[in-house]
Amino acid sequence: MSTYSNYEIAVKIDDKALDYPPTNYTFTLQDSIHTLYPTASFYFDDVGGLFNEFLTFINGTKMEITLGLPDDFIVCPYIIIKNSIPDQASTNGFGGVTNVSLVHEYMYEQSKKSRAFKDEITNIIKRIVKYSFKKMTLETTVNKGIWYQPFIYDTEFIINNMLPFAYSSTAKNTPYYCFINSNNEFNFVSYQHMFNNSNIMELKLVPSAITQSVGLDSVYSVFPIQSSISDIRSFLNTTQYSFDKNNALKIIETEISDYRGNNNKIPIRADLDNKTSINELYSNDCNDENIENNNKGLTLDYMRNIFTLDKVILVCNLNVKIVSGTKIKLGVPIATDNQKMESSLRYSGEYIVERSYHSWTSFGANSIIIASRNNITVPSTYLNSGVLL
Amino acid sequence: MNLNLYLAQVNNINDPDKKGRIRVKIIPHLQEVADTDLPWAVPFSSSLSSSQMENDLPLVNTMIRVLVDNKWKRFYYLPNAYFYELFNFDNVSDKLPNDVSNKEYQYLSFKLYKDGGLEFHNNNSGDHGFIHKSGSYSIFDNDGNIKVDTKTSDMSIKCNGNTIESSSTSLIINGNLEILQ
Repeated sequence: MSTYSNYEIAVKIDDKALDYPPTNYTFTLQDSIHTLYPTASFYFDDVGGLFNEFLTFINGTKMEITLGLPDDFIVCPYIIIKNSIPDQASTNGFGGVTNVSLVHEYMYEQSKKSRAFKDEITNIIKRIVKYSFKKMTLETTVNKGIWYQPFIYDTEFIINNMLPFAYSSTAKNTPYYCFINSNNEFNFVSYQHMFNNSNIMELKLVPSAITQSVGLDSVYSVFPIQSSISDIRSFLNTTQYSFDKNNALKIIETEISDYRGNNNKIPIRADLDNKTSINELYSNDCNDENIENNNKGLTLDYMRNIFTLDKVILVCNLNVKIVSGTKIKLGVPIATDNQKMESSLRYSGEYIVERSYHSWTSFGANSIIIASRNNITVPSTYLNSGVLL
Repeated sequence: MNLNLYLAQVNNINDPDKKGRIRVKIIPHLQEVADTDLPWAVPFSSSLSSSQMENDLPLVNTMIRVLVDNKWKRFYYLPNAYFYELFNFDNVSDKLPNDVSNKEYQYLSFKLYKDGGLEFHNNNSGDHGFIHKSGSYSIFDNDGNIKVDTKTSDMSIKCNGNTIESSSTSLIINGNLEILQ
């Protein structure tokens, strides 16, 4: 490992340290609560073309990247899945900046399997995930019964065949997410579990011109962004249906406001008398408790996008403590009428990190964070506050 | 619910709940799954209602088509899969007696059972009948006439306590015999 310009940076290729100054390469580490595998983009200045000549970056090569500060860094193993040299920079021959796309190593450590399990979901995950992650966080579900892995990869089985059904009463009507973060940590947890985390990272927007902006908790810029209303329209007023053992139609009707927390408001306005979607659940013709629990999970799965509809994009100093699934408390100052700086009630507050991007360039390192939530607290005097959902 | 079509082998038709389900080995997706863990599939369609039901189970080890939802939680079975070489009309036409008119392929609806029994309906002549594996048959013709031919030695007809029995050497009538001119 090497310390460079106060950062801890290291790249290993097939377990051997890349003996090349970090100024000759840049990279970005990305993770998301919406996708299982973290990815990375790596740009290497191979002007003479020798690294490519000696097959350094061929697809399937293992590559481990370390990034952070000397006393706080993340390490994640990847596999090269794509490489290219789009621009030839050398005047004497072959060579240029090599673009390498990476995905977490676990993706290529699996083979397709045909098997069945009769167990609870997280017990099955414990049994089938043989990879050594730095940490595994699994939140128990109530989903039992028989699960088939029909000649697919373990992770496809987890994501496609089990995750959509995941349900527990402790999740407080929130869906489960399954993801590996950029610190090589595997998570199978509910949104509520992430929000219950007492280890909150506090961040505050600080103008870049003042000295506090060098702190780890400093945010240079905040860009609020809401999901498009057309993207969330189908979640506003949903109807789920199934048939029971008497062949009778069973209807579950939910509104988006059923999924807000702490009696806060969801920052959109809409007419909830209008039906916006209809989804079929599994018919429980044999009165099976497992089907009932699976349907509860599926109902939440249909609603998963509403939990991240109110987003902020944060640009800050490199802070590798913030990865997907981290809970943050954001402070956003705003100038009030009397020219005093106060905390924005609209944008300050607690969020869950939905995506994180940690980048290293020869100019330094930074983090771009997308954090989200689905409800806010604002005074009744605010415009439109009375018509929020 | 999206359903995908697969080929499967019938593993077990003895549903412990007696609900018309069959256990299927979907090939190759569940090839490695133990027989006792294979899914029970329900008929994709049936004439089931509060007063009506049917049970027409495929044979164990035969190949069928199944429909499976994309999360592999629901399994429906369709009738046996079609294989060109297995469909041999000669096996049917050879069994039909001369009493059946218009035996052409295009007129016949039929079901040939594993033991050799043949159930048929002639959509042209209206003949309908069952031919036993022994060659005995009973046929209703288009005019409602009943043609019965038994290739074995015994036959018994019962009606309101009266019986007519035949063997290879005798005809026994148990009841009053009335012969009308």
